[in-house]
Amino acid sequence: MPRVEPQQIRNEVETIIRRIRPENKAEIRNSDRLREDLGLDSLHSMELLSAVTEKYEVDVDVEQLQEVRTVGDVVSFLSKLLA
Amino acid sequence: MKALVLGGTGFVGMNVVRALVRAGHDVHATRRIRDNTLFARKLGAKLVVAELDDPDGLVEVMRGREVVFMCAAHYPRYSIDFDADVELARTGVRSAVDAALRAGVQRLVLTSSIATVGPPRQGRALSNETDPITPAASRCIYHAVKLAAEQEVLKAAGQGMDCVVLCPTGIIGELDIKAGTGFIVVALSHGKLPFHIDGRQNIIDADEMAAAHVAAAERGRAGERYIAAGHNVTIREFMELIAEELAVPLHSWRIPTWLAGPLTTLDEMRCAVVQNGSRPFLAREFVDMVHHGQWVDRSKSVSELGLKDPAPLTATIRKACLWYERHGYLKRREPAQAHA
Ligand SMILES: NC(=O)c1ccc[n+]([C@@H]2O[C@H](COP(=O)([O-])OP(=O)(O)OC[C@H]3O[C@@H](n4cnc5c(N)ncnc54)[C@H](OP(=O)(O)O)[C@@H]3O)[C@@H](O)[C@H]2O)c1
Repeated sequence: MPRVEPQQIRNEVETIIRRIRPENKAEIRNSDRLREDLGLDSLHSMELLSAVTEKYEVDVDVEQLQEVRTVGDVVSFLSKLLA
Repeated sequence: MKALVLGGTGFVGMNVVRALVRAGHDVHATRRIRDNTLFARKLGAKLVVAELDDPDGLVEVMRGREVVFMCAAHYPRYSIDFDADVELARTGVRSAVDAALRAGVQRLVLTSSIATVGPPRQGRALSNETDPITPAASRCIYHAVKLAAEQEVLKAAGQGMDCVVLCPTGIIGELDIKAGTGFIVVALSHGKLPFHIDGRQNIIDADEMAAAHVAAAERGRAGERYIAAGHNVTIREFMELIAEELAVPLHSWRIPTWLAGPLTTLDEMRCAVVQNGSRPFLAREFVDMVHHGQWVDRSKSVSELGLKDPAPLTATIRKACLWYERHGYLKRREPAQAHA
């Protein structure tokens, strides 16, 4: 799989968050916490991670995902996997 | 067998997929395009996209499959439009049955529920497959959709389609992503079960429920219904076992059933108003299930499907707790506590 730029992953993550929570119109920042700031419950967060990992065809261990708390965490988690 | 599991990202569906794969069968499983597949994609089945309201798509994914497991369902846990919900459930099942006929599937196994079994008659202590549900139970949304689904499948059976219906009791185990019956475990661990209602229930281990599906496909008689059950318990006993496993105090107020209905309505309204995705403390489906619950007789499934004795309930609870804990649903316990 060719290297994917973090910015590209960032855009993809944002698109999926907007799809899951369409009522959230505010700007999405890297520091935003998935639950507290964006209102994604744990099922939403799994949906997000499922969608991005499917998009980039990477396999993840669900247990690892517990460390992912912010938008930035999601992007760096995937960037590392795709580096 | 060449199997297709409809609802392959759901709790029941994933457990059935895993049991089929472990038994060496060739398994395809359906997902919806936006489903969370983090767990489903690791189970060894080929995932294919299908929607119950797309008949041609269903025929496509069923072609060449010998047995279809209908574990997908419209699953309303409460309802604001009773008739519409029942109709949606009914059309979903009809669509799957029609597709199975068109695709030449040999057998369809429907995951129904113990909700379609009523109180014991003729002086028996335990209910069996012949006991019809009461008119009061049939006015509960969950009971009504399950009954409608069964009627649809049994109608097809009357017209020559080979169908077997399985009625699982409350299921506890791994892969319960949405914490269905397992919400009791998760809520107790977080001290968020301020009240409960007591009553008779039966609890089955998810692995045993899945094995019952495989057995129904292999040994069930066409047109028959089978109860898939584990242990007859009261909700209070079940909660005590969970609290013991989690080593948490059991602070939960037992409320009478007549109060549970109105309280649940208020709680649903609270959730609707705050709109932050918070769940009612008492799910309507759960209240209805307990209110109309009963202890059941598993002898037909034992003699015809060859179901084995259930594992001890404490072992099932422990397995479920470890899964929830590993996936962040429960606070991490000390290793000694978690029996790791
Ligand atoms: N859980 C229990 O304790 C229990 C006990 C007895 C019987 N049952 C029965 O078992 C069945 C499955 O329950 P479950 O606990 O596994 O529920 P679940 O986790 O919600 O699984 C249902 C599955 O069906 C899929 N589905 C729903 N509507 C669909 C549609 N229109 N097209 C395609 N797929 C669709 C769902 O996809 P989405 O996630 O995208 O909606 C999900 O994958 C139900 O019939 C239930 O009544 C459950």
